[in-house]
Amino acid sequence: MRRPGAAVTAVAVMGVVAGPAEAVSINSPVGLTPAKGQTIVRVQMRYKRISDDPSSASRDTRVLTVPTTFVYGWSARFAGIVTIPYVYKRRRADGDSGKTVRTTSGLGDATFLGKYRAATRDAPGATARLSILGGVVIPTGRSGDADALGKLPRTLQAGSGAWTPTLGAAYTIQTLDDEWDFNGMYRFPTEAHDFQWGDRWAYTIAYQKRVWPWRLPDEGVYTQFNLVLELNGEWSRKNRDASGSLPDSGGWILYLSPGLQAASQRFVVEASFQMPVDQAWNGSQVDTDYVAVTSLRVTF
Amino acid sequence: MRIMRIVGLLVLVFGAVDDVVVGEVGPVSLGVDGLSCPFCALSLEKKLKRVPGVASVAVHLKKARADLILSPGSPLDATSIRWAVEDAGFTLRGIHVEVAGTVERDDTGSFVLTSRGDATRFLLLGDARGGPPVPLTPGTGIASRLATAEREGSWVRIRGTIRRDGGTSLGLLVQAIDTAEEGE
Repeated sequence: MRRPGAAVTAVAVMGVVAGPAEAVSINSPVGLTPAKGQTIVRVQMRYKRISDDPSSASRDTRVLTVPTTFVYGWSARFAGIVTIPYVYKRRRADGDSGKTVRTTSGLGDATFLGKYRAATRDAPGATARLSILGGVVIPTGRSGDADALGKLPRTLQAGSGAWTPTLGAAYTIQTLDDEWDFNGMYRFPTEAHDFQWGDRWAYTIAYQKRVWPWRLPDEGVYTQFNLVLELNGEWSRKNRDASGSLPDSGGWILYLSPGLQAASQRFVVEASFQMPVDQAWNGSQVDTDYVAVTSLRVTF
Repeated sequence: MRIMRIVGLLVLVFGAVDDVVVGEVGPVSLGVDGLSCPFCALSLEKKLKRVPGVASVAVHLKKARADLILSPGSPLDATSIRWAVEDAGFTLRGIHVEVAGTVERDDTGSFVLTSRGDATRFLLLGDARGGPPVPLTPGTGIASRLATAEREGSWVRIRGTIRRDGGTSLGLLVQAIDTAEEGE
């Protein structure tokens, strides 16, 4: 039997921590640090479908996550990031008594991160920046919801129920023509209610290329359109409960994520489509079909 | 040794040029490194607009430049400009200005220029081979034109780059000198 496991939470969490910055790649969790006193708000919609179930249950899970992220530049080098997600999950499955549909919705787990720009190398029309990140995911989402069939599985709950410290780093090279992003975040969920999510490692390698205007105007600031191509990887360790590690949990997935981005002085509008190019989940878990992402960033 | 040089320069700029003649600061152009996307430009623009005396700001991404217009009679606050650029997350490569005024010499014999009404004073600097810019004194290349302007009391228009020698002092690395009519 296969069931959706870490993947649901992994992508939901990744959406939760997708923090905005001046020109971050779409699915990366980190980016350039905002200016001192600058506020950036980012609202994303992430729709994920997990339906490739080889078992007779034919489980089909859809996860809609709407993380709203607020970033504030405490100084030129240090920024605080708060993300509050809204989560909707729906799973349909074939059971002994016919089809069942189980849903949940509500606030997910909130993320608090600090981002420190540790190194900068600026040049005319270009910059390279290394940032380190640290913070915690707080279990603000409900993790004990139930329906007529009983308590929902952990992967269907809006929240994880666990405090999760997080560490990461990001390196960005950006020019007026293109940008490279490399970043990774490692999560260490703590035990809660005799259950512990497995550690999780998420990383992104992203490239974006300006495609319009093809030739830069000599004067002023312009709106530009970028083509984006990302590799987003996630790996998670097996979950554990009182009986030990759970065989149907953990594994890894690699997405290829083409996208589009329009950036003006005040707004960034973007969309990405994450296609799994490889995934290997432990035990019986359902494979991911895709993740569709749209996003709006506004700076004040 | 470095501290002595800084102290000396501060004395040159702030201590020995009290009897300066007024001039005026024209458009100011900032070379800003790290400006690499449209989304970045807004924060720089907002920071620079908050600098006292700055009337308008225009950012030019391709040229890695921000042009400032100062309010009439406002001082050129180079330190606040530098802080504004750094707070926005960028690196100030240089402050390029055009100043019209009269030339005098301070107690050490170096040429100085000051600005109208606000007492912005510039110690005029020249390139030194293999070293940091040095104060211009009579007999050194471009300084002959300054000496003439000083002797005749005529106005000159000088284009140059602000150098941050001495922290808050305004040393102006001279790049071009034009004669100008008073009031021009």
